[in-house]
Amino acid sequence: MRRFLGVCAVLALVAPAWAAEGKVKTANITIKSGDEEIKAFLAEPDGKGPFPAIIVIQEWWGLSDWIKDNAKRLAAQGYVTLAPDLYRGKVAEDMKTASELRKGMPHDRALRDLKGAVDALVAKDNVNKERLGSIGWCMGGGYSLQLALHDKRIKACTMCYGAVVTRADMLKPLNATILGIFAEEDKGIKPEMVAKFEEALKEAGKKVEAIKEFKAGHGFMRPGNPGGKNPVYREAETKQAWQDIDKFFAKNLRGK
Amino acid sequence: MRYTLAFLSILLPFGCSKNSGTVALEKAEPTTETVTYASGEDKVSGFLCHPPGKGPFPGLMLIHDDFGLTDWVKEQAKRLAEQGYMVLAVDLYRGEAVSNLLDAHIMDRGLPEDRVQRDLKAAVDYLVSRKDVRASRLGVAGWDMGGGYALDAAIRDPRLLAVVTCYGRLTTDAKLLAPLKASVFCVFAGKDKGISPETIEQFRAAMTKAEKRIAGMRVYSECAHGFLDPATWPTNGAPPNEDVKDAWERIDDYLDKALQQ
Repeated sequence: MRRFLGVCAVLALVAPAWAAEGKVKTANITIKSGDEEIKAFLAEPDGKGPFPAIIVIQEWWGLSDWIKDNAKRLAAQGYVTLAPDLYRGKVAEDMKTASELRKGMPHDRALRDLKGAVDALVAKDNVNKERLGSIGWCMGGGYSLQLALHDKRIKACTMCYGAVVTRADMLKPLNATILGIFAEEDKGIKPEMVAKFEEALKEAGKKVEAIKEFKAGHGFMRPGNPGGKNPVYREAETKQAWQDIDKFFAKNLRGK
Repeated sequence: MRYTLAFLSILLPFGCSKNSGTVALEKAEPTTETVTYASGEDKVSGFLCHPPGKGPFPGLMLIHDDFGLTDWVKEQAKRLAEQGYMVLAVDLYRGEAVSNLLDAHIMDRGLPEDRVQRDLKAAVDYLVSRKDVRASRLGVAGWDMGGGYALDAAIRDPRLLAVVTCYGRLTTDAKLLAPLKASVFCVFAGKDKGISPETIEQFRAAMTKAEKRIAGMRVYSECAHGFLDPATWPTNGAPPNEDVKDAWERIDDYLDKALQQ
Protein backbone atom coordinates (compact mmCIF):
# COMPACT_ATOMS: atom_id res chain seq x y z
CA MET A 1 0.00 0.00 0.00
CA ARG A 2 2.84 2.33 0.84
CA ARG A 3 4.26 1.51 -2.55
CA PHE A 4 0.99 2.27 -4.24
CA LEU A 5 0.77 5.63 -2.47
CA GLY A 6 4.31 6.26 -3.57
CA VAL A 7 3.33 5.60 -7.16
CA CYS A 8 0.36 7.91 -6.76
CA ALA A 9 2.55 10.62 -5.33
CA VAL A 10 4.91 10.37 -8.27
CA LEU A 11 2.11 10.23 -10.75
CA ALA A 12 0.37 13.16 -9.12
CA LEU A 13 3.36 15.24 -10.13
CA VAL A 14 3.56 14.10 -13.71
CA ALA A 15 -0.08 13.32 -14.46
CA PRO A 16 -2.28 15.26 -12.10
CA ALA A 17 -5.23 15.11 -14.48
CA TRP A 18 -6.23 11.56 -13.64
CA ALA A 19 -4.68 11.18 -10.23
CA ALA A 20 -6.88 13.95 -8.94
CA GLU A 21 -10.05 12.46 -10.38
CA GLY A 22 -10.87 9.74 -7.94
CA LYS A 23 -9.72 7.24 -5.40
CA VAL A 24 -8.91 3.76 -6.60
CA LYS A 25 -9.14 0.41 -4.80
CA THR A 26 -6.94 -2.37 -6.06
CA ALA A 27 -6.88 -6.12 -5.44
CA ASN A 28 -5.20 -9.22 -6.79
CA ILE A 29 -8.05 -11.58 -7.57
CA THR A 30 -8.52 -15.06 -8.97
CA ILE A 31 -10.72 -15.54 -12.02
CA LYS A 32 -11.90 -18.55 -14.01
CA SER A 33 -10.43 -19.30 -17.42
CA GLY A 34 -12.08 -22.41 -18.82
CA ASP A 35 -11.33 -25.14 -16.28
CA GLU A 36 -8.42 -23.21 -14.79
CA GLU A 37 -8.02 -20.41 -12.33
CA ILE A 38 -5.73 -17.51 -13.08
CA LYS A 39 -4.72 -14.34 -11.30
CA ALA A 40 -5.77 -10.88 -12.34
CA PHE A 41 -5.18 -7.34 -11.13
CA LEU A 42 -8.38 -5.42 -10.36
CA ALA A 43 -8.62 -1.66 -9.98
CA GLU A 44 -11.94 -0.06 -9.08
CA PRO A 45 -13.15 3.49 -8.66
CA ASP A 46 -14.53 4.55 -5.33
CA GLY A 47 -18.32 4.37 -5.15
CA LYS A 48 -21.07 1.95 -6.01
CA GLY A 49 -21.23 2.21 -9.75
CA PRO A 50 -22.30 0.66 -11.94
CA PHE A 51 -19.19 1.71 -13.83
CA PRO A 52 -18.09 0.97 -17.36
CA ALA A 53 -15.23 -1.53 -17.39
CA ILE A 54 -12.01 -2.09 -19.32
CA ILE A 55 -9.82 -5.16 -19.82
CA VAL A 56 -6.17 -4.07 -19.66
CA ILE A 57 -3.75 -6.32 -21.56
CA GLN A 58 -0.05 -6.73 -20.84
CA GLU A 59 2.99 -6.30 -23.08
CA TRP A 60 5.53 -9.06 -23.69
CA TRP A 61 7.05 -8.26 -20.29
CA GLY A 62 4.03 -9.63 -18.46
CA LEU A 63 1.65 -8.14 -15.90
CA SER A 64 4.18 -5.50 -14.91
CA ASP A 65 3.86 -2.51 -12.59
CA TRP A 66 3.42 -0.27 -15.62
CA ILE A 67 0.40 -2.27 -16.79
CA LYS A 68 -1.01 -2.10 -13.25
CA ASP A 69 -0.40 1.66 -13.21
CA ASN A 70 -2.35 1.96 -16.45
CA ALA A 71 -5.19 -0.05 -14.94
CA LYS A 72 -5.20 2.28 -11.92
CA ARG A 73 -5.01 5.33 -14.14
CA LEU A 74 -8.17 4.31 -15.99
CA ALA A 75 -9.90 3.28 -12.76
CA ALA A 76 -9.34 6.80 -11.42
CA GLN A 77 -11.40 8.05 -14.35
CA GLY A 78 -14.37 5.92 -13.40
CA TYR A 79 -13.77 2.50 -14.99
CA VAL A 80 -13.49 -0.85 -13.30
CA THR A 81 -10.36 -2.30 -14.84
CA LEU A 82 -9.10 -5.85 -14.85
CA ALA A 83 -5.68 -6.98 -16.10
CA PRO A 84 -5.47 -10.79 -16.37
CA ASP A 85 -2.06 -12.38 -15.83
CA LEU A 86 -1.57 -14.11 -19.18
CA TYR A 87 1.86 -15.44 -18.18
CA ARG A 88 0.48 -17.11 -15.05
CA GLY A 89 2.74 -15.58 -12.41
CA LYS A 90 5.78 -14.79 -14.52
CA VAL A 91 7.05 -11.29 -15.19
CA ALA A 92 10.14 -10.85 -17.37
CA GLU A 93 13.08 -8.78 -16.23
CA ASP A 94 15.01 -9.18 -19.46
CA MET A 95 14.20 -9.37 -23.17
CA LYS A 96 15.23 -12.98 -23.59
CA THR A 97 12.76 -14.12 -20.95
CA ALA A 98 10.06 -11.81 -22.30
CA SER A 99 10.64 -13.24 -25.76
CA GLU A 100 10.35 -16.86 -24.59
CA LEU A 101 7.28 -16.13 -22.48
CA ARG A 102 5.47 -14.41 -25.30
CA LYS A 103 6.35 -16.97 -27.93
CA GLY A 104 5.49 -19.92 -25.70
CA MET A 105 2.06 -18.67 -24.68
CA PRO A 106 -0.68 -20.64 -26.43
CA HIS A 107 -2.81 -18.24 -28.43
CA ASP A 108 -6.01 -20.08 -27.56
CA ARG A 109 -5.18 -20.02 -23.86
CA ALA A 110 -4.60 -16.26 -23.94
CA LEU A 111 -7.97 -15.73 -25.60
CA ARG A 112 -9.61 -18.00 -23.04
CA ASP A 113 -7.98 -15.99 -20.23
CA LEU A 114 -9.18 -12.73 -21.75
CA LYS A 115 -12.73 -13.99 -22.16
CA GLY A 116 -12.56 -15.24 -18.60
CA ALA A 117 -11.61 -11.72 -17.56
CA VAL A 118 -14.63 -10.31 -19.41
CA ASP A 119 -16.84 -12.89 -17.65
CA ALA A 120 -15.39 -11.81 -14.32
CA LEU A 121 -16.14 -8.15 -15.02
CA VAL A 122 -19.66 -8.85 -16.20
CA ALA A 123 -20.36 -10.80 -13.01
CA LYS A 124 -19.52 -7.81 -10.83
CA ASP A 125 -22.31 -5.73 -9.28
CA ASN A 126 -20.45 -2.48 -9.82
CA VAL A 127 -19.96 -3.06 -13.56
CA ASN A 128 -22.28 -1.88 -16.29
CA LYS A 129 -22.02 -4.87 -18.57
CA GLU A 130 -23.26 -2.98 -21.61
CA ARG A 131 -20.21 -0.74 -21.46
CA LEU A 132 -17.09 -2.82 -21.82
CA GLY A 133 -13.81 -1.91 -23.42
CA SER A 134 -10.31 -3.29 -23.94
CA ILE A 135 -6.85 -1.81 -24.19
CA GLY A 136 -3.40 -3.30 -24.66
CA TRP A 137 0.12 -2.46 -25.69
CA CYS A 138 2.61 -4.39 -27.83
CA MET A 139 1.58 -8.07 -27.60
CA GLY A 140 -1.48 -6.86 -25.69
CA GLY A 141 -2.37 -4.42 -28.47
CA GLY A 142 -2.78 -7.37 -30.82
CA TYR A 143 -4.76 -9.26 -28.19
CA SER A 144 -7.00 -6.24 -27.57
CA LEU A 145 -8.13 -6.52 -31.19
CA GLN A 146 -8.32 -10.33 -31.00
CA LEU A 147 -10.48 -10.14 -27.88
CA ALA A 148 -12.82 -7.68 -29.58
CA LEU A 149 -13.02 -10.06 -32.55
CA HIS A 150 -13.83 -13.03 -30.32
CA ASP A 151 -16.10 -11.35 -27.78
CA LYS A 152 -18.99 -9.19 -28.90
CA ARG A 153 -19.39 -7.76 -25.42
CA ILE A 154 -16.41 -5.49 -26.10
CA LYS A 155 -17.74 -2.16 -27.40
CA ALA A 156 -14.60 -0.03 -27.42
CA CYS A 157 -11.17 -1.38 -28.33
CA THR A 158 -7.91 0.51 -28.05
CA MET A 159 -4.88 -1.18 -29.55
CA CYS A 160 -1.45 0.32 -29.07
CA TYR A 161 1.14 -0.89 -31.57
CA GLY A 162 -0.30 -4.41 -31.71
CA ALA A 163 -0.66 -6.83 -34.61
CA VAL A 164 -3.38 -5.84 -37.05
CA VAL A 165 -5.74 -7.84 -39.25
CA THR A 166 -5.55 -6.99 -42.92
CA ARG A 167 -8.57 -8.83 -44.33
CA ALA A 168 -12.04 -7.34 -44.22
CA ASP A 169 -13.82 -10.71 -43.95
CA MET A 170 -11.83 -11.57 -40.84
CA LEU A 171 -12.93 -8.33 -39.20
CA LYS A 172 -16.61 -9.20 -39.63
CA PRO A 173 -17.22 -10.39 -36.05
CA LEU A 174 -16.00 -7.09 -34.60
CA ASN A 175 -18.62 -5.31 -32.50
CA ALA A 176 -16.36 -2.63 -31.03
CA THR A 177 -15.34 0.82 -32.14
CA ILE A 178 -11.58 0.92 -32.76
CA LEU A 179 -8.94 3.35 -31.64
CA GLY A 180 -5.56 2.44 -33.11
CA ILE A 181 -2.37 3.93 -31.72
CA PHE A 182 0.57 3.09 -33.95
CA ALA A 183 4.19 4.15 -34.29
CA GLU A 184 5.53 5.31 -37.64
CA GLU A 185 8.98 3.89 -36.96
CA ASP A 186 7.67 0.48 -35.96
CA LYS A 187 9.54 -1.87 -38.26
CA GLY A 188 7.13 -4.72 -37.59
CA ILE A 189 3.93 -2.75 -38.21
CA LYS A 190 4.80 -0.39 -41.01
CA PRO A 191 2.55 2.45 -42.18
CA GLU A 192 1.53 0.31 -45.20
CA MET A 193 0.28 -2.38 -42.88
CA VAL A 194 -1.63 0.14 -40.78
CA ALA A 195 -3.15 1.51 -43.99
CA LYS A 196 -4.27 -2.00 -44.96
CA PHE A 197 -5.88 -2.43 -41.56
CA GLU A 198 -7.72 0.87 -41.92
CA GLU A 199 -8.87 -0.10 -45.40
CA ALA A 200 -10.08 -3.49 -44.21
CA LEU A 201 -12.01 -1.91 -41.33
CA LYS A 202 -13.67 0.45 -43.77
CA GLU A 203 -14.47 -2.33 -46.20
CA ALA A 204 -15.98 -4.38 -43.39
CA GLY A 205 -18.08 -1.38 -42.37
CA LYS A 206 -16.65 -1.19 -38.87
CA LYS A 207 -16.69 1.80 -36.56
CA VAL A 208 -13.34 3.53 -36.24
CA GLU A 209 -12.69 6.38 -33.85
CA ALA A 210 -9.25 7.05 -35.25
CA ILE A 211 -6.17 5.27 -36.49
CA LYS A 212 -3.31 7.41 -35.27
CA GLU A 213 0.33 7.14 -36.17
CA PHE A 214 2.82 8.85 -33.92
CA LYS A 215 6.34 9.87 -34.85
CA ALA A 216 7.90 7.29 -32.61
CA GLY A 217 9.08 3.69 -32.44
CA HIS A 218 7.51 0.52 -31.10
CA GLY A 219 6.82 0.72 -27.36
CA PHE A 220 6.97 4.53 -27.14
CA MET A 221 4.36 4.87 -24.37
CA ARG A 222 6.27 2.99 -21.66
CA PRO A 223 8.67 5.23 -19.73
CA GLY A 224 10.82 2.45 -18.32
CA ASN A 225 12.21 -0.94 -19.16
CA PRO A 226 13.02 -3.39 -16.38
CA GLY A 227 16.09 -2.00 -14.67
CA GLY A 228 16.25 1.29 -16.54
CA LYS A 229 14.77 3.78 -18.93
CA ASN A 230 13.08 2.85 -22.16
CA PRO A 231 15.19 4.51 -24.86
CA VAL A 232 12.25 4.80 -27.25
CA TYR A 233 9.91 6.43 -24.72
CA ARG A 234 8.44 9.65 -26.16
CA GLU A 235 6.92 11.90 -23.55
CA ALA A 236 5.02 14.36 -25.73
CA GLU A 237 3.62 11.65 -28.01
CA THR A 238 2.64 9.59 -25.01
CA LYS A 239 0.77 12.50 -23.48
CA GLN A 240 -1.13 12.98 -26.73
CA ALA A 241 -1.86 9.24 -27.01
CA TRP A 242 -3.28 9.18 -23.50
CA GLN A 243 -5.49 12.16 -24.28
CA ASP A 244 -6.81 10.30 -27.32
CA ILE A 245 -7.38 7.16 -25.28
CA ASP A 246 -9.12 8.99 -22.44
CA LYS A 247 -11.38 10.83 -24.84
CA PHE A 248 -12.16 7.64 -26.75
CA PHE A 249 -13.22 5.65 -23.71
CA ALA A 250 -15.15 8.61 -22.25
CA LYS A 251 -17.10 8.97 -25.47
CA ASN A 252 -17.68 5.29 -26.18
CA LEU A 253 -18.13 3.90 -22.68
CA ARG A 254 -19.40 6.83 -20.65
CA GLY A 255 -21.31 8.74 -23.32
CA LYS A 256 -19.26 11.87 -22.73
CA MET B 1 30.36 -28.44 -32.61
CA ARG B 2 31.52 -31.62 -34.27
CA TYR B 3 28.06 -31.87 -35.67
CA THR B 4 28.18 -28.37 -37.10
CA LEU B 5 31.52 -29.12 -38.72
CA ALA B 6 30.11 -32.24 -40.25
CA PHE B 7 27.32 -30.13 -41.55
CA LEU B 8 29.60 -27.56 -43.05
CA SER B 9 31.65 -30.16 -44.81
CA ILE B 10 28.54 -31.42 -46.48
CA LEU B 11 27.55 -27.95 -47.50
CA LEU B 12 30.93 -26.71 -48.67
CA PRO B 13 30.67 -27.87 -52.26
CA PHE B 14 27.30 -26.32 -52.40
CA GLY B 15 28.37 -22.92 -53.66
CA CYS B 16 29.13 -24.23 -57.11
CA SER B 17 25.99 -26.30 -57.48
CA LYS B 18 24.29 -23.61 -59.54
CA ASN B 19 26.90 -23.98 -62.25
CA SER B 20 26.86 -27.73 -62.34
CA GLY B 21 24.65 -28.18 -65.33
CA THR B 22 26.57 -31.29 -66.34
CA VAL B 23 26.55 -34.61 -64.59
CA ALA B 24 28.25 -34.34 -61.24
CA LEU B 25 31.06 -36.77 -60.72
CA GLU B 26 30.62 -36.93 -56.96
CA LYS B 27 27.42 -37.08 -54.99
CA ALA B 28 24.80 -34.84 -56.57
CA GLU B 29 23.88 -31.80 -54.52
CA PRO B 30 20.51 -30.11 -54.27
CA THR B 31 20.06 -26.98 -56.31
CA THR B 32 18.70 -23.84 -54.74
CA GLU B 33 16.81 -20.87 -56.02
CA THR B 34 14.63 -18.05 -54.83
CA VAL B 35 11.13 -18.59 -56.12
CA THR B 36 8.24 -16.14 -56.14
CA TYR B 37 4.56 -16.93 -55.99
CA ALA B 38 1.29 -15.17 -55.27
CA SER B 39 -0.07 -14.88 -51.75
CA GLY B 40 -3.47 -13.31 -52.23
CA GLU B 41 -2.76 -10.07 -54.06
CA ASP B 42 0.85 -9.96 -52.90
CA LYS B 43 3.91 -11.51 -54.42
CA VAL B 44 6.10 -13.31 -51.93
CA SER B 45 9.31 -15.25 -52.26
CA GLY B 46 10.77 -18.33 -50.69
CA PHE B 47 14.00 -20.31 -50.72
CA LEU B 48 13.58 -23.51 -52.70
CA CYS B 49 15.88 -26.51 -52.47
CA HIS B 50 15.52 -29.07 -55.20
CA PRO B 51 16.93 -32.56 -54.62
CA PRO B 52 18.96 -34.08 -57.43
CA GLY B 53 16.85 -36.14 -59.82
CA LYS B 54 13.47 -35.81 -61.42
CA GLY B 55 11.19 -36.71 -58.60
CA PRO B 56 8.38 -36.53 -57.86
CA PHE B 57 9.57 -35.76 -54.33
CA PRO B 58 7.65 -35.33 -51.13
CA GLY B 59 7.32 -31.63 -50.32
CA LEU B 60 8.39 -29.92 -47.15
CA MET B 61 7.67 -26.37 -46.05
CA LEU B 62 10.06 -24.83 -43.51
CA ILE B 63 9.10 -21.92 -41.27
CA HIS B 64 11.80 -19.77 -39.71
CA ASP B 65 12.07 -18.49 -36.16
CA ASP B 66 11.63 -14.85 -35.14
CA PHE B 67 15.02 -13.96 -36.63
CA GLY B 68 13.61 -14.59 -40.10
CA LEU B 69 14.85 -16.64 -43.03
CA THR B 70 18.45 -16.90 -41.86
CA ASP B 71 21.36 -18.80 -43.38
CA TRP B 72 20.84 -21.43 -40.73
CA VAL B 73 17.29 -22.06 -41.95
CA LYS B 74 18.60 -22.27 -45.50
CA GLU B 75 21.18 -24.82 -44.35
CA GLN B 76 18.40 -26.94 -42.91
CA ALA B 77 16.52 -26.65 -46.19
CA LYS B 78 19.57 -27.93 -48.08
CA ARG B 79 20.16 -30.72 -45.61
CA LEU B 80 16.57 -31.92 -45.90
CA ALA B 81 16.67 -31.64 -49.70
CA GLU B 82 19.64 -33.97 -49.62
CA GLN B 83 17.33 -36.48 -48.02
CA GLY B 84 14.99 -36.28 -50.97
CA TYR B 85 12.47 -33.58 -50.12
CA MET B 86 11.52 -30.63 -52.26
CA VAL B 87 11.99 -28.00 -49.58
CA LEU B 88 10.49 -24.54 -49.59
CA ALA B 89 11.61 -22.24 -46.78
CA VAL B 90 9.14 -19.38 -46.53
CA ASP B 91 9.98 -15.79 -45.67
CA LEU B 92 7.18 -14.47 -43.49
CA TYR B 93 9.08 -11.21 -42.97
CA ARG B 94 9.14 -10.61 -46.71
CA GLY B 95 12.75 -9.67 -47.06
CA GLU B 96 13.08 -7.74 -43.80
CA ALA B 97 16.25 -8.66 -41.92
CA VAL B 98 16.50 -8.89 -38.16
CA SER B 99 19.64 -8.07 -36.24
CA ASN B 100 18.84 -8.49 -32.56
CA LEU B 101 16.36 -9.83 -30.03
CA LEU B 102 14.33 -6.61 -29.85
CA ASP B 103 14.10 -6.43 -33.63
CA ALA B 104 13.04 -10.07 -33.75
CA HIS B 105 10.31 -9.29 -31.26
CA ILE B 106 9.18 -6.20 -33.12
CA MET B 107 8.89 -8.17 -36.35
CA ASP B 108 7.28 -11.28 -34.88
CA ARG B 109 4.76 -9.35 -32.77
CA GLY B 110 3.85 -7.19 -35.78
CA LEU B 111 2.99 -10.04 -38.16
CA PRO B 112 -0.69 -9.99 -39.04
CA GLU B 113 -1.89 -13.53 -38.46
CA ASP B 114 -4.14 -13.49 -41.51
CA ARG B 115 -1.17 -12.57 -43.70
CA VAL B 116 0.85 -15.41 -42.22
CA GLN B 117 -1.96 -17.86 -42.90
CA ARG B 118 -2.23 -16.62 -46.47
CA ASP B 119 1.53 -16.85 -47.05
CA LEU B 120 1.69 -20.40 -45.69
CA LYS B 121 -1.23 -21.58 -47.76
CA ALA B 122 0.37 -19.96 -50.80
CA ALA B 123 3.61 -21.84 -50.11
CA VAL B 124 1.75 -25.15 -50.00
CA ASP B 125 -0.10 -24.17 -53.20
CA TYR B 126 3.26 -23.50 -54.80
CA LEU B 127 4.65 -26.91 -53.83
CA VAL B 128 1.49 -28.65 -55.04
CA SER B 129 1.67 -26.79 -58.36
CA ARG B 130 5.05 -28.35 -59.15
CA LYS B 131 4.99 -31.52 -61.20
CA ASP B 132 8.06 -32.81 -59.39
CA VAL B 133 6.30 -32.69 -56.02
CA ARG B 134 4.10 -35.45 -54.70
CA ALA B 135 1.01 -33.53 -53.62
CA SER B 136 -0.08 -36.42 -51.43
CA ARG B 137 3.16 -36.27 -49.42
CA LEU B 138 3.47 -32.87 -47.84
CA GLY B 139 4.84 -31.81 -44.50
CA VAL B 140 5.88 -28.74 -42.54
CA ALA B 141 8.63 -28.08 -40.02
CA GLY B 142 9.33 -24.98 -37.99
CA TRP B 143 11.33 -23.64 -35.09
CA ASP B 144 10.32 -21.24 -32.36
CA MET B 145 7.79 -18.84 -33.89
CA GLY B 146 7.82 -21.06 -36.98
CA GLY B 147 7.04 -24.15 -34.90
CA GLY B 148 3.83 -22.54 -33.69
CA TYR B 149 2.95 -21.54 -37.23
CA ALA B 150 3.76 -25.06 -38.48
CA LEU B 151 1.10 -26.51 -36.21
CA ASP B 152 -1.33 -23.70 -37.09
CA ALA B 153 -0.71 -24.27 -40.81
CA ALA B 154 -1.48 -27.98 -40.54
CA ILE B 155 -4.66 -27.24 -38.58
CA ARG B 156 -5.81 -25.00 -41.42
CA ASP B 157 -4.47 -26.97 -44.36
CA PRO B 158 -5.48 -30.65 -44.62
CA ARG B 159 -2.90 -31.21 -47.38
CA LEU B 160 -0.19 -31.24 -44.72
CA LEU B 161 0.35 -34.74 -43.35
CA ALA B 162 3.35 -34.25 -41.11
CA VAL B 163 4.30 -31.52 -38.64
CA VAL B 164 7.63 -31.03 -36.90
CA THR B 165 7.42 -28.31 -34.28
CA CYS B 166 10.51 -27.37 -32.34
CA TYR B 167 9.78 -25.34 -29.22
CA GLY B 168 6.82 -23.69 -30.94
CA ARG B 169 3.65 -22.27 -29.47
CA LEU B 170 1.05 -24.96 -28.80
CA THR B 171 -2.69 -25.23 -29.05
CA THR B 172 -4.43 -26.40 -25.91
CA ASP B 173 -8.06 -26.57 -27.02
CA ALA B 174 -9.14 -29.95 -28.45
CA LYS B 175 -11.89 -28.30 -30.51
CA LEU B 176 -9.35 -26.17 -32.35
CA LEU B 177 -7.27 -29.25 -33.15
CA ALA B 178 -10.24 -31.06 -34.74
CA PRO B 179 -9.40 -30.17 -38.38
CA LEU B 180 -5.79 -31.45 -38.06
CA LYS B 181 -5.01 -34.27 -40.48
CA ALA B 182 -1.28 -34.43 -39.83
CA SER B 183 0.59 -36.33 -37.18
CA VAL B 184 2.86 -34.17 -35.04
CA PHE B 185 6.43 -34.58 -33.87
CA CYS B 186 7.52 -32.22 -31.11
CA VAL B 187 10.89 -31.14 -29.81
CA PHE B 188 10.92 -29.12 -26.60
CA ALA B 189 13.67 -27.58 -24.50
CA GLY B 190 13.53 -28.29 -20.79
CA LYS B 191 14.94 -24.86 -19.99
CA ASP B 192 12.40 -23.03 -22.13
CA LYS B 193 10.84 -20.31 -19.98
CA GLY B 194 7.85 -19.91 -22.24
CA ILE B 195 6.62 -23.47 -22.83
CA SER B 196 6.02 -25.00 -19.43
CA PRO B 197 5.54 -28.71 -18.69
CA GLU B 198 1.89 -27.85 -17.85
CA THR B 199 1.38 -26.40 -21.32
CA ILE B 200 2.94 -29.46 -22.92
CA GLU B 201 0.60 -31.67 -20.89
CA GLN B 202 -2.39 -29.56 -21.91
CA PHE B 203 -1.39 -29.98 -25.54
CA ARG B 204 -0.99 -33.71 -25.12
CA ALA B 205 -4.40 -33.99 -23.45
CA ALA B 206 -6.03 -31.88 -26.15
CA MET B 207 -4.46 -34.02 -28.91
CA THR B 208 -5.71 -37.19 -27.20
CA LYS B 209 -9.18 -35.74 -26.75
CA ALA B 210 -9.28 -34.67 -30.38
CA GLU B 211 -8.05 -38.16 -31.36
CA LYS B 212 -4.98 -36.78 -33.10
CA ARG B 213 -1.61 -38.44 -33.36
CA ILE B 214 1.54 -37.29 -31.62
CA ALA B 215 4.13 -39.30 -33.51
CA GLY B 216 6.81 -38.40 -31.01
CA MET B 217 7.65 -35.88 -28.36
CA ARG B 218 11.04 -35.20 -26.79
CA VAL B 219 11.78 -32.76 -24.03
CA TYR B 220 15.55 -32.20 -23.86
CA SER B 221 15.96 -31.24 -20.24
CA GLU B 222 19.50 -29.84 -20.54
CA CYS B 223 18.63 -27.61 -23.48
CA ALA B 224 17.41 -24.03 -23.75
CA HIS B 225 14.89 -22.54 -26.13
CA GLY B 226 16.23 -22.45 -29.67
CA PHE B 227 18.97 -24.99 -28.97
CA LEU B 228 19.09 -26.53 -32.46
CA ASP B 229 20.38 -23.25 -33.88
CA PRO B 230 24.00 -22.53 -32.89
CA ALA B 231 23.22 -18.79 -33.08
CA THR B 232 21.40 -19.15 -29.75
CA TRP B 233 24.32 -20.84 -28.00
CA PRO B 234 26.34 -17.78 -26.99
CA THR B 235 23.41 -16.37 -24.99
CA ASN B 236 21.63 -19.57 -23.95
CA GLY B 237 24.58 -21.90 -23.49
CA ALA B 238 25.51 -24.71 -25.85
CA PRO B 239 23.35 -27.83 -25.58
CA PRO B 240 24.88 -31.28 -25.15
CA ASN B 241 26.05 -32.53 -28.56
CA GLU B 242 24.18 -35.77 -28.20
CA ASP B 243 20.88 -33.94 -27.69
CA VAL B 244 21.24 -31.99 -30.92
CA LYS B 245 22.19 -35.16 -32.73
CA ASP B 246 19.36 -37.13 -31.19
CA ALA B 247 16.77 -34.45 -32.05
CA TRP B 248 17.82 -34.34 -35.70
CA GLU B 249 17.90 -38.10 -36.02
CA ARG B 250 14.40 -38.33 -34.66
CA ILE B 251 13.15 -35.50 -36.87
CA ASP B 252 14.67 -37.11 -39.94
CA ASP B 253 13.29 -40.49 -39.00
CA TYR B 254 9.81 -39.12 -38.39
CA LEU B 255 9.73 -37.25 -41.71
CA ASP B 256 11.05 -40.29 -43.52
CA LYS B 257 8.29 -42.52 -42.15
CA ALA B 258 5.58 -39.92 -42.63
CA LEU B 259 6.48 -38.71 -46.09
CA GLN B 260 8.90 -41.01 -47.88
CA GLN B 261 7.38 -44.41 -47.30
